[in-house]
Amino acid sequence: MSDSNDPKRIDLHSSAPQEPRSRRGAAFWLGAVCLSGMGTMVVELSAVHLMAPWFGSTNAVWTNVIGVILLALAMGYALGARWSRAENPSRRLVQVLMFVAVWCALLPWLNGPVAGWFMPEGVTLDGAVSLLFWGSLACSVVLFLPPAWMLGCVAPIAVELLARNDRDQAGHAGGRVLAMSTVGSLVGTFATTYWLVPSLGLKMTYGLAAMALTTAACLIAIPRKRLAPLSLWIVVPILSGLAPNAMPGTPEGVEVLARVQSPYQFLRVIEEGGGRRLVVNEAMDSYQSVWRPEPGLIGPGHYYDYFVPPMHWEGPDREWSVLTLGLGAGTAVRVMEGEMPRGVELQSTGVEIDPDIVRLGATYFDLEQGTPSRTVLSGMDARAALHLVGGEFDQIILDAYANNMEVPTHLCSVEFFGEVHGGLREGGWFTVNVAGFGLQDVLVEAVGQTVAMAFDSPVLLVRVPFSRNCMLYARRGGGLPDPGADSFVVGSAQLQHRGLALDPSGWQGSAHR
Amino acid sequence: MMAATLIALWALGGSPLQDGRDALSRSHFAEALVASEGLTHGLDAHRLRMDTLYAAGDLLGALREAQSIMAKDSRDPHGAYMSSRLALDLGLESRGRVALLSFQERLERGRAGMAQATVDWYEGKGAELTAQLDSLVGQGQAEQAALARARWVVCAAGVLVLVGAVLFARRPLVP
Repeated sequence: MSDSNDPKRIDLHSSAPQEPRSRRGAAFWLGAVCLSGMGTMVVELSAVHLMAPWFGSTNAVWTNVIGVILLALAMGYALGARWSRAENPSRRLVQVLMFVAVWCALLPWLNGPVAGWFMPEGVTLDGAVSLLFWGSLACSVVLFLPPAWMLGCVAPIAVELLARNDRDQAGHAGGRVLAMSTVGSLVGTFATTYWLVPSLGLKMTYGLAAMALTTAACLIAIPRKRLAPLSLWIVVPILSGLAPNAMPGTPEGVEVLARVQSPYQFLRVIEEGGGRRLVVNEAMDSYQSVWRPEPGLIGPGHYYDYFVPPMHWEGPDREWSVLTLGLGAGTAVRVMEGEMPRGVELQSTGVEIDPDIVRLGATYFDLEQGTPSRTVLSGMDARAALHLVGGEFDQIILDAYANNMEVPTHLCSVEFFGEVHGGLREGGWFTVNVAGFGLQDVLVEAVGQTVAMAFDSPVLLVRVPFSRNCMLYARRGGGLPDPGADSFVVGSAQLQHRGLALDPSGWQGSAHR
Repeated sequence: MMAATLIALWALGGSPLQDGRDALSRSHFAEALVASEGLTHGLDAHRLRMDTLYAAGDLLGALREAQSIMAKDSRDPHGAYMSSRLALDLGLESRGRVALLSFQERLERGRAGMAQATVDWYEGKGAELTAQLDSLVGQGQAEQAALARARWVVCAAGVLVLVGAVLFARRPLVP
């Protein structure tokens, strides 16, 4: 029922739709809503990338970010509903958009100190489990709840403005606002993942989001001759341009050769003590790839060395074909290159899902590609590649991890291991790097059992000394070396001399079925 | 004379301890471990196994043996030293602290009977272990503080949201 004596209330049901007061006003409000929807998705999708150098980008971190933003949006919708009843809600809308624009420009400034407050330096990967969850949640609350809260106010206020302007039904106004907001969110989603972050980096991404929100504020304020938002055209670029590339500190004696924000993760190439490492996201004390000046064995504590034994156990004549799933920067191939049996040529095919890792590998890790004996499938998922390459390999290496410590589930199933089995020639070898603290580790046992099931044969599990890794050996047909037998010791004097100790008791091999 | 002959014959034939040490020097860990089982003197067996497992990269196994040595020989500082070093390398703060204290006590008690070079070496290592323990303790405290901060922030935010929601719901609709 209408109350015509209340000047603050608009009766939306009093008559048939009339001419809107301002078509241009409606267009500007919808434009502002579209830009704020885009800004929301830019903030949300970039949030994990911003925190990744400290907390990684695991499912837990994604869940924390999405959860905090959803909560903030709900709070914003409620607050926006209240503010929409003001006499002049457009003023509030401009203030909200200006606040979020400045906050977006400040995010690169705030990120480092806030993240460092919840994740101190020097934490080891295995000691960081609680910190990764609580720290990323607290960081999301501090950094992303305020702007998302304010962005949630935009839609209710915009609905009210449209309804008043067009003397419209709430549903009609609401539908238009939701449609434009969602279009903006769609643009923000695709632009962030495929263009902004990979091409411009996070600093510029947040800067552009801030400028988009500044534009939205201007669209609403300028027709009403309010010029305050124009000042942000100066403030925001300055804040964004001067923002630091905040990231965790590096210890003394360590030089960072390259930093890349790939679509998947944050990458750094680190040089220390004459060697190089590729580290990913929060890294801590783990690494993704290793380089030494000379190819061949790396030394104690590095599981890559233990991809070498099968070709020495078998003693091929002319060539040894290897498919590496999870190539990284090519460490496994480089180790094997340096330890090939005399007269045997290595034919390598490598698959790496992150193209930026392949580019860094070529630049800093001597990753060879594009020759008949060195093929690299860049930007491709390992399981998809396995179907694509076909053929039968002498050895398939599986060394694929996400977020430093997670085994992709589709690369750890009976079905996948069955496909690997089919990709091996008769007698071919399957070698898997399994992260675990020993042979009794739950993950190590589970992977061993699953491979044994898929291959319908025993597997050999050995612990890599001085590391958090175990190596799994399986074979399509043919026997596995007995850890208790002399044949288990690799016959190459060179390997023995270089320290690849394969005596079984140091490794505690076991067989699963 | 007979005893000397027997000893010479025994030496020529090799002892399990010597065989084990030889195998260890050649990185034949299986042989070394088998040799340790043939040792009648328990401490020699533990020492050989500790050195073998450490060389093979089984730090936890080596720590177990070192702690057995520490428990069985209250005078020898080496077992306590290795216990402390391995525990701290593995990040086991409390075990490392206990072993370090034991090592320092044994060194103090036994320094009169040791060569000065040995004492100096142990004291240098002791200082390194103390610094390593301090670093581990500091790191642990920093991690605990960060975790507490994160939990407080999240809980405080949750409380503020709930209180805000209650107050918000109770305010009159007219602004």
